[in-house]
Amino acid sequence: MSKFKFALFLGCNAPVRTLNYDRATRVVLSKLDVEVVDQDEFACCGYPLESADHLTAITMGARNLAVAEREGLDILAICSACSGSLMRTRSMLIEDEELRKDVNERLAKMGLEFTGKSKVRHIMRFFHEDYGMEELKKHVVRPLDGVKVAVHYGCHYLKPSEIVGGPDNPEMPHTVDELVDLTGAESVDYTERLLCCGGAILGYRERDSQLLIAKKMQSILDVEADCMEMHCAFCGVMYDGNQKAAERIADKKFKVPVLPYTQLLGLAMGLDPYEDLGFKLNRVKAKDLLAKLEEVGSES
Amino acid sequence: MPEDAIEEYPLVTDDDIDPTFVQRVSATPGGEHLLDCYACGTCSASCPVRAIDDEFNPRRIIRMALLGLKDEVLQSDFIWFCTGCYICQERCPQDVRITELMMAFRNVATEEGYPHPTVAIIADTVAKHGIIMEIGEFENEKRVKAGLPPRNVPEDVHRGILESTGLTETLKKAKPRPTKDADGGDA
Ligand code: SF4
Ligand code: SF4
Repeated sequence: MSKFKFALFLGCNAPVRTLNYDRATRVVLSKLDVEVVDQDEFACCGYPLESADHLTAITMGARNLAVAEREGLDILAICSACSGSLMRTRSMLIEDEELRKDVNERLAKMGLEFTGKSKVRHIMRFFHEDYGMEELKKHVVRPLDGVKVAVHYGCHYLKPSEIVGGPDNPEMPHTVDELVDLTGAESVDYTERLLCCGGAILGYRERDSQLLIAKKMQSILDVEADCMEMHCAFCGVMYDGNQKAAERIADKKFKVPVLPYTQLLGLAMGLDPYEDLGFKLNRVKAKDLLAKLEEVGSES
Repeated sequence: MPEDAIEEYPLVTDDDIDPTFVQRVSATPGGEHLLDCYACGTCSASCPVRAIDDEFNPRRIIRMALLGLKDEVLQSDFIWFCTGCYICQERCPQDVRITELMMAFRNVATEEGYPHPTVAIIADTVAKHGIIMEIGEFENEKRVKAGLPPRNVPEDVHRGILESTGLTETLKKAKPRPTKDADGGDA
């Protein structure tokens, strides 16, 4: 029996718009002997409606948490907007008894209850803190020597720091760099490393969200990284899915491959980019990067 | 003041001010620390949207709210430009919790009949499909082809929540949004 078992929380974007991330994550986790279970009843985490009504968003989050509780499982999230929102909701409900009562009355009509029993883990925090760096490293059989990676921390993986930040300082985080370095690749510093993807205003101020993507991509080109790393489905939608739109607004080609961390890790674990890791589904193709790895592989 | 500045920043008069607005926002989840702002500007200096968009400025929005410029804040587009990145919230020396405050402005705007049109679209989709997009046969075929299990969120799984909190009703009562003049100068 595997030591770790989670309810996998895909959120809204991953199941439709970042299939590469979904795929690579499942294959990698299964190789690592981490069991994940899908829940049909998991739906939107609530974040997209926080703008409209606080109580609605909290109750939506609580319903998801209550489903996980019913199954007796902790949640593993692959979108930072989801993990952040569910963690904030959980902590608010635990701290505020009145709110919890109100929300639970609404959930009772659906035969559900929130108690706080199930925890929420972001996949990168799981790798870093639970699975453990030492243990993870044992699975690296094909180090990604010579690959320069621009990591994208993303906002809700780090902040609000008191709830989601773990061991990271939000101004100077280190966990993702360490996880990338573990694959044998090199995490390179760049000016806009902490810049927001702008996903939350895609539907409100599209132009700004594209300008934010362009700013990030330029900064990555400046340091000549081979790819960008991400670990959030919404960030993936922005940087991979909308990179073309950002190119149009900047009147410039970027062509920066955007790899979910599990694709990078999977490559280092010796998995096949197309069969196992969904590289065919990447919008910006990572052909150059894969060719580079082939070369390194054949030299050694 | 040069003439164009006077045009861009017209004088505030009593008619523009609603003295109850500060209380209203402060009583909304996320808005509790509005009064603590001492206008240092750390938020605006840190803000990634501020850096690329002159129409957005968190310190300015907070000042407007503290002055009681209710209509100007609630009917604006700019309260919807915050990405929720939390940089300002982490750095604010007064713990104004700005990211949450921006959400509070939007919540009050929605209640008062001025939700951004995108909100209604999201709410509608979430009520119907449980998530912010529809997963039909086509999407599930793509999933299966990619070696993934199909995703079948039960219809209406969140609908009852949106109805029980009154959000569905509130959104039906949305008022027409004021249109901006051609040069977009409402910031
Ligand atoms: S950083 Fe805080 S105190 Fe300073 S202007 Fe912004 S909200 Fe006000
Ligand atoms: S949370 Fe909003 S206001 Fe604050 S820095 Fe980020 S985008 Fe600007």
